[in-house]
Amino acid sequence: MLSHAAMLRGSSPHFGPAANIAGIGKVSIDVGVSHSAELIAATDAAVLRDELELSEARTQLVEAVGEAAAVKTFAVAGNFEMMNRLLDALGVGPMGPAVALAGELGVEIPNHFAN
Amino acid sequence: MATLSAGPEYVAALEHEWEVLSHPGTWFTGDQRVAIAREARAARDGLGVNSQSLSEAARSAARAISATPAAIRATDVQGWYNDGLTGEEYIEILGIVARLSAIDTFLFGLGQPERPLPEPIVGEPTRHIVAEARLDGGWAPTVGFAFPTTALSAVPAEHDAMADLAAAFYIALDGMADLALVDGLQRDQMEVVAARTSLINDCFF
Repeated sequence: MLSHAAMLRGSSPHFGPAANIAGIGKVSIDVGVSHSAELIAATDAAVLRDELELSEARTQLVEAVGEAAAVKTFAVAGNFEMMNRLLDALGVGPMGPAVALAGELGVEIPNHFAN
Repeated sequence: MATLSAGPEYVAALEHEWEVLSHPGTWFTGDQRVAIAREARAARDGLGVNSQSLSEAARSAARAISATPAAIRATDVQGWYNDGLTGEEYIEILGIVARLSAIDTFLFGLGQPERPLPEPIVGEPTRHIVAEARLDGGWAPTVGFAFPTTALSAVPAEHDAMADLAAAFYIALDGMADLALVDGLQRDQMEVVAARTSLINDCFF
């Protein structure tokens, strides 16, 4: 999560104000990226396999970003289901400057990693 | 909005992955690869399945990678090695289960039914050995330091399949540096989804 929080911070000024990455960890905080609330709700429902939440989240996502972007949202979520497993199964933890973002996200880095 | 449809570029990616899954791999037969996928889905759904073509270590690894990846520790991986699984076999299981997870989540998000697993294709694994792969910052061999782009490098066919799916679902590996990219979503919107998915999964990288 920390590397992509860093990429969120780095990419957001290309499209608007700098993102508030604290909103990734706490949904009550606005990330500040266009339609981030709908993106997060749809991501949560898909990754947590919550069928009750998913239908409404998907409808709201499509209304916000359109069908093609909604499909891409679920594709990106799928991609990180893949990448998360690759890294966790190899014991690859955070590295580089991204480590410093843990506090902003409100997470504590565990110490079991191989690197 | 009841469901969404995957466009042709996604359908092509799914069909390619099913082709890859069904064929003999580097260390497992097609039958064993499909059995690994079946174990992964069953573990995710809290079900048991009797995959007689797999060793207990292979079954256990597939189930852990699928259902509880953030809980895997060095001692678990060493235990599978002690039970006879090789590092390269572990990498192949990891590639299969990780890509299946991507596709199943994608279709679930769209509201589409799960794809039935493919019929295995008969044949022998290639048993291609990558001589330079070794433990380097991870619990399984990689070529170079363990990192997203090297995670499956000890089994090149698995690396290639991962890269193909990542290019279709997110960004091609050589496009990662483009922070102003727009491809279906703006790059910052993609990173919201990436970071949030990783947070839910307790993946700290």
